[in-house]
Amino acid sequence: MMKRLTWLVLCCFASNAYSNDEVSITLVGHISPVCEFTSQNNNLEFSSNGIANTTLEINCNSPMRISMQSLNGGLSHEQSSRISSYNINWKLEGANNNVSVSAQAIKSTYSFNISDILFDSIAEIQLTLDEPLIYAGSYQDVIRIEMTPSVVSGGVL
Amino acid sequence: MNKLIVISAIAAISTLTSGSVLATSHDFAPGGTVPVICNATTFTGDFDFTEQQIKDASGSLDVDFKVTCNSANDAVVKLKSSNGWLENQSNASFGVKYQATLDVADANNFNLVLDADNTSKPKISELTMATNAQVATGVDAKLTVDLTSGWGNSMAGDYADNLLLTITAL
Repeated sequence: MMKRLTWLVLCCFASNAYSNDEVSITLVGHISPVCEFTSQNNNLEFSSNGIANTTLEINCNSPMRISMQSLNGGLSHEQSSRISSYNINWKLEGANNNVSVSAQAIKSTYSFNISDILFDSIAEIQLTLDEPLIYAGSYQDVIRIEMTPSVVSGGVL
Repeated sequence: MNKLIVISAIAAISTLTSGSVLATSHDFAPGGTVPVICNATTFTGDFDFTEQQIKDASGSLDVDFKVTCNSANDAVVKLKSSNGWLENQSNASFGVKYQATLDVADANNFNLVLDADNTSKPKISELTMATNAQVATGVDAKLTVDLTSGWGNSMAGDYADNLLLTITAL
């Protein structure tokens, strides 16, 4: 009985060794979606005409989602409780859509999708005050911007 | 029998498995600074009462100017009469009393009155003025000086006082 079993196993191996006529090889590659950006200037001081600008260099290898959040929903006046409204305007090189949104609207996280792939692209961000700052003192806000590949569910961290 | 050999070449390790960062976020700090501006348009000079007005201790002068104060927390406005009245420069015992009134309609009808009645030297009156967006960019103000009564005001000599207006941001 033992001899028969050994013989059967050997036959199987032998058959296998001499019956191959074709080998199929599947090659698979994968690049993880990554979105990165750097900014020219993080401190955006409004000029006397009520405008502040910065430029972002974007490197994203997939469609993406841009999320924004404003800490104060406008410029907070340190010497009072006044909030001065301003708008954030995006001009995205390589994408057709320009985006304009108020700081008030992004007090809760605001997101928009970019279907184009902005690889090695420039985005111009312009902040525009609704009305001039008239009261003496310091004004400030913090805007958090996050870029996330669309395939990954994410928002402002 | 075909033998299937699968070779997977993973070009990049998945973020989900490696823990590398897929998304990037940055904080931006928009801001601005506005200097304090609290002033009145210049109205220095002499404002002369006529001899008859001095003798009668009656009559008034108006001065129109603009007040600007961009303090978000109001301002203190002060009127100061150096002599405490319109004083005879040859004899301080003689003079003419007057009432100075500063009106700023667009500052919640701000009204500051100084009675230069020879009760102190100098004589000062001050009041907090509520600021608003109009005051922050400049509003019309009027200073009126009314002669009220005199003492020895028929005596010869120059009758003079210096009235100083000060606006201080709070």
